[in-house]
Amino acid sequence: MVSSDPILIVEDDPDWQDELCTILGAVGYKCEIAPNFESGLVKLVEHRPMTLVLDLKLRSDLPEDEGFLGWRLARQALELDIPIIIVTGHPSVARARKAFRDYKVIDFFDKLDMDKEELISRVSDGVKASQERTLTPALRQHALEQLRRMFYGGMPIRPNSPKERR
Amino acid sequence: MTRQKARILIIEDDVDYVDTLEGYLKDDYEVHSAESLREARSLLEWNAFHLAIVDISLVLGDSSDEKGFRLIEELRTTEILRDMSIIIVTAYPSEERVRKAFKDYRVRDFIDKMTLDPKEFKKEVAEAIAASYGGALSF
Repeated sequence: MVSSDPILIVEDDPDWQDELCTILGAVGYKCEIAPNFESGLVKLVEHRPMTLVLDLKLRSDLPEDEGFLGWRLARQALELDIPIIIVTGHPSVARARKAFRDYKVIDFFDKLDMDKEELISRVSDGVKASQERTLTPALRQHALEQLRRMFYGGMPIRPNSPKERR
Repeated sequence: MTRQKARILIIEDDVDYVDTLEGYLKDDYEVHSAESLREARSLLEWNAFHLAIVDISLVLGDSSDEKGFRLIEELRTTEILRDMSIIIVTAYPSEERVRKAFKDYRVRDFIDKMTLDPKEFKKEVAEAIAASYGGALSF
């Protein structure tokens, strides 16, 4: 039976948001979507997704791939640890190596060469691994406080509500 | 008392490249090398190594990288060697090979020979040895 906890997709391209949600929704996964890493971080804490499907090149002029930067922030500042799958339109040996070696992703897909069944299988692996980890209430509270300080100057978080997809 | 050095096995058929890697490592480690799968198997059977550096493009009659991956698969299915750290080096990197190496064979690193940086390489080797066998070893 597929988990009811969501899969978080951090992807700025609306067509790819639809494509990934369609692939995962067809086998029963619920998807949450974030178009950038800031809203992605908020959703990581608020929705406690089982697995993260992450694009690397989000809309940004940062020198580093925003996907890597966002995830490093999530791990270091927020102490979050969720299985990650990278789906990118800009694959390279260097990015693949960095993803596996430094970020311990469970897989790395080239958007143009992605096997849908393999993506589903890897998401399933991520969900199984995630079920062994928990975000305790204390850890969640700590992460929310950190987010407030980072983005909202200590004010309450008011993220845009996403459209839930099934 | 002389401190024991970690033992590294370089599996590489290009003797010049073996010399290059050995040059980076010999001051800090005990370095051995094998030019073929058969030689590597023989060394691994009789000696304990803390790290294997494997060229997946080993040429044994053809230039397929399947020979190097096949050896790594053997290592991963051998009980006493399955948690040994492995670093891959290759002159033919690709995203698919990177993916296969990390995902299927749990290597520590995948290095393009053409862009290998000696300082970063030595750091990677040190980390790989520290992590070998789940970090159970100390030097």
